[in-house]
Amino acid sequence: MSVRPFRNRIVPATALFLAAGSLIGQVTPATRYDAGPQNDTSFHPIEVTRQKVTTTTVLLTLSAKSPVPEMDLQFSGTTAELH
Amino acid sequence: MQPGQKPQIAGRITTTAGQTGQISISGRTLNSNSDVPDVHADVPFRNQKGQLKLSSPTATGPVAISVKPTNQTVGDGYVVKGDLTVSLKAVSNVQPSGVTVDTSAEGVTLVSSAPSANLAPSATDVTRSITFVASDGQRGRILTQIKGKTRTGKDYIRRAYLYVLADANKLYTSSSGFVDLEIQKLQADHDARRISDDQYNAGVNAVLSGATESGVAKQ
Repeated sequence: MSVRPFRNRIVPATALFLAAGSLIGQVTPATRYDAGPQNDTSFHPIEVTRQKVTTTTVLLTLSAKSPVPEMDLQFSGTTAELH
Repeated sequence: MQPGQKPQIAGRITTTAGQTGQISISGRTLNSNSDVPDVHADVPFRNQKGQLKLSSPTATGPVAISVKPTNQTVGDGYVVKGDLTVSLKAVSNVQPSGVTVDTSAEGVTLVSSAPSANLAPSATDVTRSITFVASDGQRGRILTQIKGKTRTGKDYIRRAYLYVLADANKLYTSSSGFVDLEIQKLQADHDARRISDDQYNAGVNAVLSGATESGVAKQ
């Protein structure tokens, strides 16, 4: 049985594979990753502006008027208006 | 907590010059059988020429609350206006008339959120116009909570998060999480050649291995 037909196919294929690998090695930057499932939320920005902003740490002091068991306290729901 | 004890909690708020509003503080006992009423306090504020001025809180409940600003920094940041859309899974089972939509934020400051409107019976999503403020380096998330009743009387609650990372070069948002935000930033920095291939790969490995912090700075 002649091996020539097989060799005629495998040699060009190997050369093409090596050439492609060499090319990919040159032009592909670092590996890309994808992460996390989507939670069906989307955000469409309408206006994004750069501004000076003030970040303030606020200290809350609690004082019980009567005995209080353990509480779940939230510092949230900040509402405001821009002028 | 006994009378005389004065525990302290630190929160953080980001504002822009001229901004007014109020900080809301709410609390409830962890024991559902307790008859202790909930705590609620509103603290009006005004940003006057870059300085946050707080007014006296108006508190209700068994706990008095006092507030004072401590550390304050002024830097660059973003004011972002946009439309936030959340899909309504299994909404065909929900009675549209009783549905409420609440939006709140952690880590970044929510400036405004459009009031809730009645949902159409055929609605498949909810869109809210929101504005938030974030300083460079801040990360946070905006929570949209949709509550209602199913036609059989059961509670329907849907929570959806939009994650935010404010970088000096770009503002990133994601519906996936903080890991996705960090990778978006690494890819943008790499594409703009602010970091090398090695720095990019090291950064991605660190993010995926959990070596970098991916939490929210609590307000």
